[in-house]
Parts: sequence; C-alpha cells; structure tokens
Amino acid sequence: MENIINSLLPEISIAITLFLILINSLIDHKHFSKSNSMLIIFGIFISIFFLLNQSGSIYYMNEALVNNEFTKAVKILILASSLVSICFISKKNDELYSKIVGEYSLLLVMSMLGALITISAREFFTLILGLELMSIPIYLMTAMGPKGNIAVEGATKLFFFGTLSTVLIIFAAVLNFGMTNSTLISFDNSLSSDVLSILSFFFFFLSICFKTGLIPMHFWLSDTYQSAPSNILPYLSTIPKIAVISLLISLVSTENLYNNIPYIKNIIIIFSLSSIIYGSILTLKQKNLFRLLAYSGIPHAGMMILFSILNMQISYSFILIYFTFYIFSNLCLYSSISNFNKNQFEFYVEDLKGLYKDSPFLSIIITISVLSLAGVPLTAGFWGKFNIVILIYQEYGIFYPSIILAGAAIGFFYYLKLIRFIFSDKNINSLDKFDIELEQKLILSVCIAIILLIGLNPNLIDILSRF
Amino acid sequence: MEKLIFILLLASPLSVVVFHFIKLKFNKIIIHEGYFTLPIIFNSISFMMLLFNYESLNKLEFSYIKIHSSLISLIFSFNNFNLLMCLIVLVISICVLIYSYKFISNESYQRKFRYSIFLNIFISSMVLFSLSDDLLSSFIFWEFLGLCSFFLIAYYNSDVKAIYSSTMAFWITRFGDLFFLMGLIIIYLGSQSLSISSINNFLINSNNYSDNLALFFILIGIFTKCAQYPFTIWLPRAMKGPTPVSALIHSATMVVAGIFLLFKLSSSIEFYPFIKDTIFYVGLITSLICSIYAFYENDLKGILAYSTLSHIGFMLIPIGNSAGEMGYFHLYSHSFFKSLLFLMAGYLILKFNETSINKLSGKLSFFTPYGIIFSIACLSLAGVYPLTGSFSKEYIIIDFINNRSLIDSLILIISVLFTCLYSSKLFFSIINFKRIGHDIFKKDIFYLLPMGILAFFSLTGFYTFNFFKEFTNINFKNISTIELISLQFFVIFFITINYFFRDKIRSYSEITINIAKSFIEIEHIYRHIYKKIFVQMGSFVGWFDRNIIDGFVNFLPYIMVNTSNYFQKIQDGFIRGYASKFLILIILSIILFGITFNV
Amino acid sequence: MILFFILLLPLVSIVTLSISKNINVIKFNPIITMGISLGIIIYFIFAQQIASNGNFDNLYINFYTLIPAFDVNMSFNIDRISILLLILSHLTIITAFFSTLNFKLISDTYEQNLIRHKQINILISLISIGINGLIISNNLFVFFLFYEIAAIPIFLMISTFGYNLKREVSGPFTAILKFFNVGSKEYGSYKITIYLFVASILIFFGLAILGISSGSFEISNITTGNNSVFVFWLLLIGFGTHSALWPLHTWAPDGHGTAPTAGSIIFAGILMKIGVIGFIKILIPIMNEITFNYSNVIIFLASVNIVYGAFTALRQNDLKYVAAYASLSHIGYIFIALMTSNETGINGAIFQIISHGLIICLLFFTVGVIYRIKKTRMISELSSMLDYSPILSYFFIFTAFASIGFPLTSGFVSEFMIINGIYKYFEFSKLGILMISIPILGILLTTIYMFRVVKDCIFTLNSNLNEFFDMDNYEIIICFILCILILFIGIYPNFIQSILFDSYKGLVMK
Repeated sequence: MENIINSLLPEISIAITLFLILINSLIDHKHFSKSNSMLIIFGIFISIFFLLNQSGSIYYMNEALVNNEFTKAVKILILASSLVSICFISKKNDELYSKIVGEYSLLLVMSMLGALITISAREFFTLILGLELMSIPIYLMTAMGPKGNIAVEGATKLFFFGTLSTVLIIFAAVLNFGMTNSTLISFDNSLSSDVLSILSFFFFFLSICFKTGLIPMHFWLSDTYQSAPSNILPYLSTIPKIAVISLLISLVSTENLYNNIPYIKNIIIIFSLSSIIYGSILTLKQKNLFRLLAYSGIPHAGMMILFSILNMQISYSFILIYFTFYIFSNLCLYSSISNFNKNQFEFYVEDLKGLYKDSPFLSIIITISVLSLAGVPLTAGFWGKFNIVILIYQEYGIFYPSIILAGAAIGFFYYLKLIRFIFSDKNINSLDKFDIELEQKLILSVCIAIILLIGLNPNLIDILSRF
Repeated sequence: MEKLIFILLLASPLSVVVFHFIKLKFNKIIIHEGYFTLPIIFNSISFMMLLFNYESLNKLEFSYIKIHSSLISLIFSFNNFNLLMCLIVLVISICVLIYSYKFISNESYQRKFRYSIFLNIFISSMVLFSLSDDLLSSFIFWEFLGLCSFFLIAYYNSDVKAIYSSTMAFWITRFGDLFFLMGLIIIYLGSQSLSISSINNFLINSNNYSDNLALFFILIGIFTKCAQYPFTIWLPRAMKGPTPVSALIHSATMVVAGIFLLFKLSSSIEFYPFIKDTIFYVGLITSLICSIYAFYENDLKGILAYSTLSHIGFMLIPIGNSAGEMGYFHLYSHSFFKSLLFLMAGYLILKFNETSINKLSGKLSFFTPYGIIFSIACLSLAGVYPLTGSFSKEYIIIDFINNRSLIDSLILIISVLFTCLYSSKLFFSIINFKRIGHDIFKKDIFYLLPMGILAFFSLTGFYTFNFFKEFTNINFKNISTIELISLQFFVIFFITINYFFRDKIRSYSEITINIAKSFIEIEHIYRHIYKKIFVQMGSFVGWFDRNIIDGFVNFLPYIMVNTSNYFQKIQDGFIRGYASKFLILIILSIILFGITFNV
Repeated sequence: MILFFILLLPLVSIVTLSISKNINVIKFNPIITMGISLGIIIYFIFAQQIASNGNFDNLYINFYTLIPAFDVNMSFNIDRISILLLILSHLTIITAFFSTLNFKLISDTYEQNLIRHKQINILISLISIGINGLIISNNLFVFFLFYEIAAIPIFLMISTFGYNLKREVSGPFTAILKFFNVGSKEYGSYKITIYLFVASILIFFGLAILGISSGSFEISNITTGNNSVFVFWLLLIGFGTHSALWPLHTWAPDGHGTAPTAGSIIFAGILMKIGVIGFIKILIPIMNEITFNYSNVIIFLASVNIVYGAFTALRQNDLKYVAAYASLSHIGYIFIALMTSNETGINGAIFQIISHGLIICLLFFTVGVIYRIKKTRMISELSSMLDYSPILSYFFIFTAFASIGFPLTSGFVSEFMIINGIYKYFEFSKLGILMISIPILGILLTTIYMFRVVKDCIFTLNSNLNEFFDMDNYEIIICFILCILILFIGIYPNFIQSILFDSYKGLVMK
C-alpha cells in the first residue's frame, strides 16, 4: 500500500491542487485570482519534487500502472511545459479572456492529471480513464472563449472524433479481453488468432491517431485549431500528443509487443510515413496561419510515432530530445502567436508582415522556433531529425529515411514562408502595436535558450536524464 | 642594361597613364603634349641603347609558371634577328608617334589618352614580342598585339562600321590565337621546354602525327594574324582605323609578326613537307589574288591594304621554299615603304578629306617634298632598281624561278606584274607634274620628319641591303646582271604600259578581276557562319534552357502545389464528410493491409 | 589557433551593427572587420612561411564533442587549399560589402536607409560565417551546419532586397512557368533556397550514411562503406547542384538575376564553389575509387556545362544573365580539371576557383554599378559608355579580357594549366586533342559573347544622350584592388603554386 501511495504521489499532489482550486474558487468570486495560479504552480513544483524522488521501474496496482525512468522524464517534461501554458492562459491584460481564466486554469489542471495517468497506464481501464480525463476538459476549453459559435463548432468536431476514438479503444479493449482474459494491454495472440490481435491493436492505434492527429484521424485538427481560443493552443498542441505518443512508445518498445502482434511495425510505419508525406503536402498551400500550424503538426507526430519501432535502450535520450524540442518550439510559437491573435476567425500568414518592425523580440522568438521545427542546425530540431534518420537508417536501410527527408524538404518550404513574411516590409492591414508582459518575455526566452542549448550540445538531455 | 631597356619599354605606356591621371586631377595647368612626348623620349632612348651596344646585351629569363613539374620561363634574347626586328619596329613607331602627335592634336584629351595608351602598349609589346625567344612569351605579346589593334581600329567609334570591323578582326585573330595556344600545348608535352631552340631540336628529331598537327595549328594562328587567305578580309576592313595606326600596325609590324615567328621556326619546318607546302601555296594564292584585287580597288587605303596582303604573301613564299632569310629580308624592306605610303595616304586624306583615288587624281604635285616622298614610296613598292623594294623582290623571284615548276613561276610573275600595275596606277593617278599646290602643302615638320626618315630608308637600297647583310651576317648569293636587267626591264615596261593604256588593261583584265573579287569578298560567308552557328544556336539553347529545362524543373513543385490544393478541398469542415472519408480510409487501409500481408 | 577566431569576428560586427545608430558605422564596420580577419590570414601565411617551407602541418582543432556515439565533433581543420579558399571568400565578402555602400533608395528616409543597410550587412555577415566555417570544417556535421547557416540569410536577402524581372516564356511548360510567375523575386528566392535545400538534404543523407557506415563523422577518418555507389550519386547530385552542374543549374541564372548585387557577388564568387569544395574535401579524397570510376560522367557533364553555358550566354539580353551563364561555363573547367588527377590539372582547378571568383566578383560589381548609374541592365538599352563613363567601361573591358583568359590575367594562367592537365591526362592521344578543343571552344564562345557586350554597350556611340557620370571613389578602390589581384595572379602565379605546395597529392587517383 505504501509503495502504491509513494508511486502515485505526483498524481495525488496534482489532484489535491485541483480540490484546493475548487475550494478557493468558492471563496473568492473574482474572475481571475492570483491565488489560483499560485496554487497551480506550487502543486506542479510539489509533484515535480515527488517525481525526482522516484527511482527504478516498478509496476503497481496489479501492473495497471508503471513508473520507470522514461515515464518519469516525460512527466517532468509535461509538468514543466504546462507551467508555460498556465502562464499564457492567465493573461491579465486581455479583457476578453479574463472572464473564463478561472475555468481555464481548473480544466487545464484536470487534463494535466489525465495526461499523467495516461503516460504510466498499462491497463485498458486506467488508460481510458486517463484519456478521458485528458480529453473532456479540452472539449470544454475549446468550446468556451470569445470566438462564440465558431468555437462551439470546432469543439463539436473535436468531440465527434473524441467519442469515436473512445469507442474504438473500448472495442480494442474488448477484443483484447476476448483474447487474453485480462485487461492488460498486451494483445497477446498466443491463445487466439493473429487477426484478432492485429485488429485490436489496429483500433487501439486509431484512437491514438486521434489524439496525435495522424491520418486518418487528422480531420479535426485544422478546424479545431482555427476556432479554438488561441491561448489554449500552447497546451492543446503539445501535451496530449506527447502523453499519448510516449504511452505508445513505452508500450511497444518496453512491453515487447513485437512478439505478440505480427505486422505491428508495418502498421505503425505505414501510418506514420503516409502522414509525414500527406501532412507536408497538405500544408504547402495553406494561407490561414492556424490551419497551417495545425497541419504542420501532422508530420512531426508521424516522426515521433516512428520512435516506437526502434529499440528503447538506444533511442531513449533521442526520444527525449525530440519531445523537448517539439514541446518548447511549439510553446514558443503558439504563445507568441496567441499574443497578437485579435480573436478573428480568419488570421492569415500575410498578417505577419512587418512583425520585424512591430516587435523584434517576438519575431526573433518565432523565427528560432520555426527554424527549429524545420530542423535547421544549431537548433534542437535538427538533432531530432538527425537522430531519427540515423536510427531508422541503421535498422531499416535507405528507403524510410529518404521519405522522412523528402517530408523535411517539403516542410522547409512553408516554414520559410512564415520567416519571409515576418521579415518582409509592412503592409496596410497588418498587426497594430502591442506589448507582452515581462514574465512572458522571460519564459519565452528561457524556452528559446533551452532549444538553442540543446542545439549546441545534444548531450545536455543525457546529462539531465541521469538525475 | 637589359633590365633598363625593359623598364623603359614598360615606362612608356605607364607614363601615359600617369600623365592622364594628373590631367584628370588638375585639368587646368597641364597641356596635352605629354601624351606623345614622353613615349617618344623613352622609345628613342631604348632605340639608341639597342643600336649602339647590342653586343654587350645577353639573354634574360623570367621563371613564369610550373607545368608538369617543370618550370616554364619567359626568355628574351638579344640575338641579331631579334634586334633587327626591334630596330625596325622602333624606327617606325617613333616616326608614327611624331606623326600622330600632329594627326590627333585636335581631339579631346580623353580620346587622346585612348589613342596614345593603346599605341604605346602596342609598341612595347611588339618590341617584347620581337625580343622573345620562347613560344609562351611570343604568345603572350602576340595576344597583346591583337588587343591594341582591336581598340585602335574602333577608335572612331561614332562610325558603326569601324566598331564592327574591329570586333570582326578581334574575333578572327582570337580564333587563330586559340589554335596557336593548342599547338603550343601539344608541342610542350612533347618537348619539356618552350624555348625556340629546344623546340626546333625536338621537332627535327621527332616527326610524328601530333607534331604535324601542332605546327598546323600554329600556322592557322599565324595565317589569321597575317590575314592570309582565307582570313584576308579583316585587314582591308581594319582600314577604318586612324591612318598612323594602319601605318604602324596593319602594314609593318603586327601583320608581319607571324612571318618573323615562322622565320624563327624555319629551320625545323624544313623537315615537314606538308607544312612547307601549306605555307607556300597559301602565300602564292594570297599574293596573286590580292595584287589583282588591289589593281581593281579604287579606295586609297584599300589599295595599300591589299598590296600589304600580297607582299605578306611574297614573304611567305620563300619560307615555304626553304629560304627563310629572304622572307625576313622582304619583311625588313617592305616595312619602310609601306608604312611611308600609309603615312602619305593619311596626309592626303587629311588634306583633301577624300579616300577614293579618282577624287584625289592629280592633287599632289611632284615638285613638293611630299610629291617626291610619295613617288619614292610608289617606285619602291613597284620594285624599281635601286630602291629598297627591288632587292628583296628580285631575290625572292629569282630564287623561286630556279627552284620551282613553271606554273608556280607563272603565277608569281602574274602577281608581280599586277604589283607593278597597281603601284604605277597609284603613282600616275595621284602625282601631277605641274608646279602647283605649294600653298596647300605647307612644310610641316611633324609630317615631314617621319616621312623623311622612312623615305631615306626606302630610297637608299644599297645601304639598307648592306646594313641587313652586316647586321644579320646572312650572305645572299649574288644575282647575275642579266637577271637583274631583265627584271628591271620587265618592271619598267609594265609601268610605262600602264601609263599609256591603263583603261585597256582594265578592260582586258576584267575576267581575272572578277575571279579575284569572288575569291576576296567572302565576308558574307563569315557573317553567315556567325548568324547560322552562333546566333541561332545561342538563341535555341537559351530558349531550351529557359523553357524546357527550367519548366521541367518547376514541374515537381507544380504537381505538389496542386495536390496540396486538392487536399485542401478534402478538409471541407463538415462532420459528415469527415466521417465518410474516415470510414473510407479505414476500410481501404484494412483491405490494403489484408492484401499486402495476406492475413 | 588565432586563425579559428575568424569565425567569431563577424559576430562582433553583427553585434555592433545591431546596436549602432550611425550610418557610417553601419556601412564601414563590417568592411573593417573582414579586412582585419583577412589581415590575420595573410599574416599567418607569412608567419608560418607556408609559401617557402614544405613541412606545414595542418591546423586541427576540436572544440567539443556533440554525439560521442557517432563521433560528431565541432572540429575544424585548415590546410593549404582551405587557406586560399578563405582568402577568396574574404575578398568576395568584402566586395559584397562595398557593393552595398550605394544601397540607398531615392524614396528612403534616413531611418529606412539605416534599417536597409543594417539588415543587409547583418545578412552578409551571417553568410560569411557560414562560408568560412564550411571551408575549414573537418566534420561532416559541421560542414552541413555551416552550409545551413549560409543558406537562410540568402533566402531573406533575395526575398527582401531582390529585383523583379520580366521573363517571357514559351514551350510545353508555359502553363507551369506562368503559374509560378517566373522572374519575380519571390520566385527567385524560393527557387534558389528550395533547390539548394533539397541538394543539401541529399548531401546530408549521403554524409550521414557515410558517417554511420564508418562509425565516425570526422572527415579525416571516414572510410567508404558498403552501399557507397548510392552515396556517391547522392553527393554528386548534391554538390553538382551547388556548383550548377548541368542540368541542375537553373537556380543560378534566376538567383543571380533576382538577387541584389551583393547576393550575386556572393553566389558566383564563393557559393557556387561549395560543390567544388565538397569535391575537394569529401568526394575525391574519401570516395577516390568510385569517383574516378565515374570520372567520364563528370567530365561529360562539365564539358556540357562549358559549351552549353557559353552558347546560352550568347543571346541573353540581361547583363546579369550573361554573367550567370558565363560563370556556369567557367565552373565546368574546374570539374574537368579536378578529374585529370595530375598536378597541373588540379593546381589549375584551384587557380580557376580563385581566378573565377575574383573575375566574377568584378564582373557582377561592374554590372551593379552600371545598373546604379544607367538604371537598366539590358544590353539593348545600354550604349556609349566608353565616352560618357570611361573608368567604369575600362574596368568592364578589363573584366571581359580577364574572363576570356587573356595573357597576364589570372584567367589565362588557370585555363593554360587546365588545358595542359587535360592533355596530359589523355597522353598524346587523338581523344586528348578532341578534349582540349572543348575548353578552347569555350574560350572562343566567351570571346564572342563578352565582346558582343563590349561592342554594343561600351563602344557604340549614341550621340543623343550626353550625361557624363562615373563610378565614385569607393567603387574605384575595390575594383582597382580586384584588378591588381587578378593581374598579380596572372603575372606571378608561382606564389600560389608555392602555397599549394604538394596538396594535389590528396586529390590524385589512388
């Protein structure tokens, strides 16, 4: 019992933070309360502290949950990054948001708890619990906000696919139970036929595709990103994806599903590579900024999924590099963009024109993060692509890396488009002047510093993950 | 001493540049004279040095570049042949410099600078060319000659014809120069050195395919520079340039530089019969056609140009006839009277502003200094004894007649005949024997001095002949008086005939003239080649590159962008559409999966 | 050791540029910085007596290790060839800076002018970091890294400061070309960047395969692995694209045409040499056997380059396109010479790299000045420059003569050495005479198109325009320096030959 408590301490601390927020919001009725965010930050630090104390890999609650180095690292990453999203949700200066900031912080903590549970889930019920706990607050957050009906429409699409994915994962669980008489995620085909295991894994994988926005579950991405209030995008675009992908990776590569499921690698490779190519080509001609960013997430998700067919022992630190770079680049990009989104539904790439003159700081932040997403050297993004290309080449030969690089080559095009508009001359209907707060500036520069440091020396992650 | 001469040679163009720079900065206080005075001084000093202590000079070597791990060096040697060439060049160039000081005097100083700088670069590089004793340095200064001629022909650039002819001249000569370069490289790989002597030894010893080819390439270079057939056309067109330039470059020095080079190589050419025959026949044909054409020509400078061509042909004939020194001798004697004629022509054209000799007929009185000088020049051109022109021509003709078949000799005789005809035509049409026109022809020292010097050399045949013999200590075998008298009779006879029945001769020789015309005027062929090959090929390749290759390059992004547009349409934003597409994709993927891995 | 800090010097100038508010500081600070680093290099040459003593050992430095597993280091190495390339790149960058001195638009206010100068100088400084690092890189990763550093600013430079051209299209692909609106500066910038980025992706992939298969990314201890033919083709296509090897060259004319003068100078002067540098640093030393197995292919493509570029340049109307195709055809000589695998040919290749760099810098600079003065680059609209802007036209004529390989200019030396090397490679055979006739034909065509330009733009006198203006003093200074260098190499080639003492030995067929 004690060790269960010990190993659940981070989640528990977050949950306690949640209750405290609820109580606190009973006490003071202000739309935004500083105490809330203080509470959240405090709780996050507490849980990070507990995480740092954990060590070794242990299965507990009848192997329903697991804690190991990898889950620990990813959890720390997620908590740290959610600090940034919290900070960008609670914008004092914005009248439109100030009504709902309280709800936002509450819901965000809730879905963060879900993410934490999802990462270390090894059993279907905990997994479904985690996923739902992670998704349902997101439905609400996207539906709220100043964009009105449009936001509701986007949330509806998200909700549709969310329920679909839930149905699929339940179906996968049923099949799995039929095969193995247990709810553990093993897809063990020893007792029954291959087809069942393949099918169950396939549906499981589809529901993961929904969270990560791989094809064929990518349809919701563009509309939701476009219509959602732009200050939850830093959260929406990073943490659910990372949580689910890390779950898949650790499942496939540590619980050795290779032996249980034939053709599992083929399934993963087909979907990931096709989404790399499809996403890159899809993004080429996109004018709307948020749709463009949404689409540009698809190839990255595909690449991250590809880690799951590699050997965990080798690719451990490489995965962390990729996660870190992806999370922090996206955080920088979306948080800077959410600053000057005038809550208009149509926000085009051309509107970035002359940003260089308006706010040099933001333009440099955006440039570096975009270059890092495009995978240019001296940024962390290069090492992400570099490592995965090398690993894939070592195990699978020339063909898959060439597809990845083709995707990168296409992706370079639309990432360059952003930079060009930022540095080109100002036109009439572009952004008016605005200021961002000091602590936001500080946080952004910290993120950029992390990206650049990892780009300069990728061993950093190795060193950190030794703790 | 040698170094000092080099410094002087380089100093004369440099002084012009410095002077021009000063003039640009302080326009007021400087007068225009510096453009010509300083070079004249420098050149005359180097002339004196070369003339008075040529025994004490010994060869210079500058190591230039390492090829095939052996160092090529530029060698400049002061042996007698080179020195004689230098002296000729310097004499004529000093005369031309003095002449053109007056000739150019009323131009703007920018144009004066342009004229003077390239003239001086030409003089220096020509002297260095004649001093150079290896093929690489010869090639280098050979190219510089072409450069200066290019700029000087295009000097009157308000006239489009001048620009065209200069460009054409440059292209043709450049074409030849590149062949020269190829031949040089081919030879160099065989004989690991480029100095003339070692190349001669090498060529004498090894006589294989590549050496023949190399010599042939060098010959092409020489023919283009000497404007031999079929590259004749650029020299008459080059007469668009200022006349002193024609006097220096296109009669005496540049166009005969190739002859000098061949003369240096003549000891090895002995052993290459194919090369010998090529030289011989090209020289013969050119001399024949051009002398006929010169008789037909009416433009004053045109006559001189074609006669220059035919005389260069005369110089080539003995070299192809294994008597190189005679060609050199003819070069030497020809340079004086031809440049003199050019200077004279320039004077006349300047005075009367006319170029056709029909307009100029009888304008020049015999009893003025100019008249006397002009008649000396004409008679020397015709080869009247004992003027300078006669000696070399006699030697060539007699040596030729003794060694060659009858038909060849006949051809040569005809060309000599026409030489007499056009020179006498020139003489009789320009000169009149009345004592008039002293007021027009004022005695002008800047014109009279250079012309007088050249007239002295072309008048005193014995003196120049002996000077040549002593300087180069070549001993010519004596000519028997009968041959001499018969030749002179031949010459005088035709001159007199031409005086009385000029029009009859014109009418009788109409056919030959037409033939010559059809041979000479092949400029349209060059134009055709340029248009058909270069222009059309260039436009086609340009079109191909811009539209086919570039279009094909743009093909892939085009497809991608259109696919992207199509994919955008899929994202239509309707849930039912999404659901249907999702279902289709799922079913498709399941089926595909089942097929591929036949589960 | 001091030599490795030339990479950091541009950073200093970037910082100064970004904080300074004075136009003159912004104009002249980068020039002075590059001058200082050039001075450091030249001091190094004379201090080490590289020209005189034979036993100069390469400077190798490894700052730190990035990925121990694959031996990915921040390591640099300087040898004789890379010293010369460094000097060339510095000269190119300095020329580019000089070309931005007259960068002011008439419409600009003081602040706008300030910002323009600031932006373009920062971009050029970034490019210089990339180029220099690329030249002295000793690690495949560093090679790729510095390439990328150079690539991004080029894109920004063209798309911000470029020119829009009108290009009439016909032929089967008309729809496509119209669709992309060819000739606009967006088109040019995207074309050059995507083209070169795809090429660099190929290079990166090839280098990665090389590095993995030999377990190390250090150029010095890489060995060719199993599927090295595939790698060879990847690298050949990549480097060939960088050096505009036919038929992968179409980025060059549009890039030059749409780029500002500084951009064109940098492309032609040093950026088109990246592929050649790749050949010298990676392809020939590491993949020696395979490269020389395919040497016929490379020689064929290079010959096509020479003749094709020259023919295309014959009928262009835009001076920049003429210059672009001229540099295209001159790049061909380098590739032929690199394949000759004897001392003369390879030294000729290095000479050609340097001399072509200098000459093309001068050519593009003069073209830029012509554009500044006459407000047009069309040959059909230019005339009578010899009478109304003499100094400019004398410089242009000098460039023309240098580019046709006129004796006593650097062009002659390099072409002479290259043709000798080719003839040596084919050892007396008839094929050898055929092969040397290709560069000769190239020189002839160069003569024709260069002097077509001289005839039409310089000599032809158009009497109804009579405004007399000429280059200003800075332009005269930099042009004069370049001319002196060209003449120096042409008159005293022994100096460079003694600097690359026996470095050809690494590049011959083993």
